[in-house]
Amino acid sequence: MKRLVFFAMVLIFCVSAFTLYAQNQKEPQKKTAPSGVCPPFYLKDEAGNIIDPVNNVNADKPYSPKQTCGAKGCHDYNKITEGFHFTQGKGEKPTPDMEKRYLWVSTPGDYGGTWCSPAPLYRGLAPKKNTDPRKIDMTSFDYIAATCGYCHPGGGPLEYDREGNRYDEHMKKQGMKSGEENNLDGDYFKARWSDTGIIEADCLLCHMPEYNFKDRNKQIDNLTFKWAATAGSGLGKVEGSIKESKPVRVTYDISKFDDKGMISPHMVKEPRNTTCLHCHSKPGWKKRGASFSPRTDVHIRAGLRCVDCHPAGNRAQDKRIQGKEVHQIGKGDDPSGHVRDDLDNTMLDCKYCHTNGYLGASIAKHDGLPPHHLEKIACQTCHIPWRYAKAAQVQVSDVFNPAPKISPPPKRIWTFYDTDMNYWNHYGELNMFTKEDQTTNPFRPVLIRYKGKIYPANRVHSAWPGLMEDGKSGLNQPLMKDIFMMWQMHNENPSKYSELSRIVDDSGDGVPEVNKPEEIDAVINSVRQYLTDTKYDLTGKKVVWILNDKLYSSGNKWEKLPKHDYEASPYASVYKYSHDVAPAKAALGSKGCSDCHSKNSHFFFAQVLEYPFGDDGKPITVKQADLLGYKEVPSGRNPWTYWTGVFFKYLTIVVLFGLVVHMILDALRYYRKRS
Amino acid sequence: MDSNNTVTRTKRFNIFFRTQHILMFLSVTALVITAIPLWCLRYPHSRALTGIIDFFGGLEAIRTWHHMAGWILTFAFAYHLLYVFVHPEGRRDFLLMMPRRKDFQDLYHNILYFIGKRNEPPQFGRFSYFEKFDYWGAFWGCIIMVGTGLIMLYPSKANSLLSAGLGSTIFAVALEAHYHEAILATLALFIWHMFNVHVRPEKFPGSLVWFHGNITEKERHKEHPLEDEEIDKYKTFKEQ
Repeated sequence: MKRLVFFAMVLIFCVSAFTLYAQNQKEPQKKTAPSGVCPPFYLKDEAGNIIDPVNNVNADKPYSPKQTCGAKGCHDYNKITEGFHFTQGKGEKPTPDMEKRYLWVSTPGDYGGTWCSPAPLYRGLAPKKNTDPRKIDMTSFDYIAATCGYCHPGGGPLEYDREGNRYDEHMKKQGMKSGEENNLDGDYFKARWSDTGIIEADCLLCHMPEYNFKDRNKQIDNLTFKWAATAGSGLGKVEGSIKESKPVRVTYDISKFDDKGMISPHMVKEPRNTTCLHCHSKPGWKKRGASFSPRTDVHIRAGLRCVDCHPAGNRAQDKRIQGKEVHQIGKGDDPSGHVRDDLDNTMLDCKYCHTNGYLGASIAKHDGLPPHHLEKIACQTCHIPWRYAKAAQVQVSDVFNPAPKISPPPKRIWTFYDTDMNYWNHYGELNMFTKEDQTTNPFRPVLIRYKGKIYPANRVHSAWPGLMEDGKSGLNQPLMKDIFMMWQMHNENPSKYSELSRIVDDSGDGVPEVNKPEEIDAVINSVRQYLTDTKYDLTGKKVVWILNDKLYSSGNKWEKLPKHDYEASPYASVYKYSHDVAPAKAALGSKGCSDCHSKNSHFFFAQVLEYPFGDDGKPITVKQADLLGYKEVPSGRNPWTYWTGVFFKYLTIVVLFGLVVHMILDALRYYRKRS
Repeated sequence: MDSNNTVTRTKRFNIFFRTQHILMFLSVTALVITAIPLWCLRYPHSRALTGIIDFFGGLEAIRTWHHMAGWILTFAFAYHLLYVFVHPEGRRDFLLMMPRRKDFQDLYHNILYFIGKRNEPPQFGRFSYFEKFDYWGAFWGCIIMVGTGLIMLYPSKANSLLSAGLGSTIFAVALEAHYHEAILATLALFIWHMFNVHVRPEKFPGSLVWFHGNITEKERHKEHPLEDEEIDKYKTFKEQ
């Protein structure tokens, strides 16, 4: 019996011990390769072969970022290039608004969309299928060569056509000829893909701080597309030019390779500010007067980096963009930016940092500020009370701009006016200055109501000749080069399109503007005549002139076009201001409520531009409060508030009625009694 | 007036009650005046109305004065509550202020009297129905105005006491209630109360009872003939 008890106890002990052991055992962890820093690696060419200039293996080939960084076991190139920086709208449908308005738009992005110009006219991507070479403006090939490729990091429409074929391979496969019409295909018309190669997504463009954009962009000018990544990385020197039919040769810099022929370049996970600003600085200047400098931006002054607020990959907070290889960079929501609208507001917003102190952010208190201010007014509205550099508030594309240093020449059909409605030779300044040289030109932003909140914004105004097409909603634009050529011919010989001589300066600023009926007629008639002269088929089309939301079919006949309240024109962009944030002590309200609530405040009583030119050529303005649609206190829209108001109103009516009746009866009785 | 041509006066309101009333009318007058430019704030897009704000010295100055007056009103109301709880006359008057069936009967009677269907007006106790209306109007008015005023003065504290999102709704409702109740109170004060104590022919140009607290026996007999009886009832009630 004792033995039995002993065995039973041993058995219980063993079972218990085993159970405990089993419970404490976890799933064995899968072994993953350490990541975060790339080990030394070989360059590879487009075919995936190793390039080893030390041992003279394939040393005459440009390297392929796709084969090198996207090699098996490294990075998922296809996943990465789904990012909107690469696609630039390719493969996306235009927004319903765009479909209604723009006949030339096929995507919501830079590629095929409204380009990076604030307003028409600009180069439009040709449709894939075309019947008339006269109407083909910019092909996918031109898209790169027309300097768009300067900023575009490669991949997407720089690599594959609209049917998903790799340009150079497809061209060869289909027997298309370099520089020929190639069935008027909008991706291949007069393209030279088979010579130039394509531009793969260039990883080092963002991830190598010392990346040489100048050398890369030189390859775009020379049409040596597939050599661009090699030149930009500085790993090799590229000589020659497809454009000039000079043989192209690459010479790798051996000093950057180890004995085995591998490289270990200076690469970073998170791009530096200078990298982002290389592309975002110039358009930011034109569109928003952005400076992105410590002088103007409290965040840059505090040492923050672009990627701190615009994170990607694993650092992204928003589930929509979070993930190791996902190169969707956290973005905001601009009224005129429609690429991947589904990813709007994936960046870290003001509230995120300024409520939890992320990265040392000060906690916003707003003591004493009635809460509806924070509900109805965006942070930027008070915290960006001023801008410091000019922005293009008006872009007209109907007169010739003769100012110096505007390049390339077709840009002379653009005339810009700044936020004070002064003529601005923006492209001349771009030619001469960097953003460090921006002239100081402080101005108060216009305020708009967008998605229920008030934001500071540049509400661009536009004037341009357009084309109405029978049976179609929206408008088309004539080719930018046509309008330029029309003016060019007129300037050389004033008897050509002589009506253009009627366009004169009425405002006295020295710059002619189209504003009077005879000037409007002059533009419409001249454009029609030029297009007819140059065999542009105008069947079913009518030349019109558009000033903001007014569509003129002649100088005295116009109709209004639908638009959003925050827009000045359905054919011009609206750019919200979110950078160049002032310190809290300089925000609206820092000097008290009267910053806004006084009869001279900018917030309500500034005169903001409604139309750039009236009959006298001078601007027509509107009160800021009217633009914002102020009629009563905004809180009246809350149902709780509404019913509280209703209750008290009726209570007041009933009570006062009773009291007044009581008083009258009382007084009448008194006097009747006395009489 | 007695046979010796001297007026016999009787104390209607003690010093504590008069102090409350003085604090109240001073603060309410200041609140009404400073509320005018604050009302203009409802129309921030009107240059004329915003000009009134500027005329009063700007929003901060107006708000400071309005808040100071609001604190005085808050003090007066707190003082009144303390008086009601602590002082025997306060407790008595508070109970006598309670609405009763007789008040409705008096109202009906008075209306019949006004239209000539009765020859005599109703006989009132210590407080007539319209005085009770004044009192309760001011009482609940204070609760609404002080309550909503505090929510607006300390929005973040109010917000922290409530769930996020609801706080701003409460603020907006408080603002709306404050605004409308202010109009109701001001109209009631300047029409009804002023009529009863100043413009009413028997009272013109005004009674000074708020200052010295006394009324004549004649007035007392005429306006509050049932006061003694009512107070006796109160005493009996208290002794039970």
